[in-house]
Amino acid sequence: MISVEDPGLVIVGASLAGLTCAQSLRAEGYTKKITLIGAERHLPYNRPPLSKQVLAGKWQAAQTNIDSAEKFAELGLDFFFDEDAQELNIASKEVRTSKRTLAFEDLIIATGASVRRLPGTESMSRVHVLRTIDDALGLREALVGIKCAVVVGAGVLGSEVISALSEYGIHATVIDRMARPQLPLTGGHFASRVNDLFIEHGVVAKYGVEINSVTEQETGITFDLSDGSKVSGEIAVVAIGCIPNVGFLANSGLDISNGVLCDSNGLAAPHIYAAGDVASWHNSITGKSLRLENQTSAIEQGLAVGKFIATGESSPTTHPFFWSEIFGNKILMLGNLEADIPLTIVHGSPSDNRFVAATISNGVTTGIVGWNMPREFRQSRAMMEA
Amino acid sequence: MKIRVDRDACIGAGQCALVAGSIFDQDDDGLVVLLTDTPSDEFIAVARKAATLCPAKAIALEE
Repeated sequence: MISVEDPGLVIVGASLAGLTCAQSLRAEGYTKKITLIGAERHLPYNRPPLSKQVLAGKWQAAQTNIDSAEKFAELGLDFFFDEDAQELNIASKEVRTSKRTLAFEDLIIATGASVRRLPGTESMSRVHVLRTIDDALGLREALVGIKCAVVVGAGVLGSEVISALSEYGIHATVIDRMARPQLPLTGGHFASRVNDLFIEHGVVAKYGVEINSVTEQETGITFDLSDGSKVSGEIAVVAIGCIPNVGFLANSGLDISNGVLCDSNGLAAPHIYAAGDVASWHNSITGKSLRLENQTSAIEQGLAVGKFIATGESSPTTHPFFWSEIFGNKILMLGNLEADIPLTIVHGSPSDNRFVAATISNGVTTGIVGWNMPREFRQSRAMMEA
Repeated sequence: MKIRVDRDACIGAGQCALVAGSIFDQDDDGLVVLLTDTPSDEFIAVARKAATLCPAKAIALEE
């Protein structure tokens, strides 16, 4: 028998999900080689603070690092920075990158998602997006000395950006093609509450409009809207979501119609796994496949994949969780609030701006939200386990 | 092992108090309160789990 070097495991994507997979593998006793390939030049970092502490100027860039370089080194990884995966060949168990071809025994896809840009604005210097640490630092710099800005997208990121603009005393106009603000997984229950916050802080909101054209002038940027109006700002921030990074999988044979389709262990094909924003896991609680772009899913999926590869054991399915802070209001969300079920107030009172609310369907709690009531929110999580 | 928490980073998710209630609590704003910074050996595993699960990465362990 010919002996060859064990190719071990390759993780594509030095993201939170990718790093958590590596930590979990080592914690669960995986001793083979782990190779981590990262497209960015940075050590893995946290994204949630980018639109919060970093944009508000409270944190320096280094505070977003997930681990120190020393802790990172302790994992014993072969780490290649600034290197893109370009093609996956499942039959030959090889992945080709911009610099080399790597053989693997197992592969984890943790390439995350890229920001969606507004077509035609890609090269406009006054149009910003917010996805990477470099984006956040660039936007923070662009906010200095300006008085008005346009935000495209009234989702959770757009709302956080508007909050930050307000703290800087910058007037914001928000545009969205939807009829109201959108927070993920909340079934529309908080749309009017968020809109009230916009109004209270002097934000001009234009809902249900399409953008016909965008023009950049020397001093600003102007949007022509489908209702015949124009809105202008000195800069614009586009927050219209992300696209999973699956380009290198185009010829792989995997189902990549909405990220990488996986079972409830993160398995996409024999020896091929995916975790984090790029992955669409089967959720055994809801019976649906769900692609989630949030920090907690990236952590939990990373832990689960690492454990499954190292030990063969499955991890229990969890509920999606996200948090936000909008105009100083701390919002925590677990599960999925259903649009057609009225909210049950579990603690506090909406009129006091402090409450925990849930949707309960046939005795089953499907989602819980905490609005400025974190401790009671945590205590109420037991409702979801019942 | 010594535990450090960063209350500037904490977002009050309460994951730490859920999995390691003998080490972590939350104040009225939901922010993490460290009950002990040097857990006994039997609690080291749950402390590590809390640090891993913290969505804000606000818990650091010094081995």
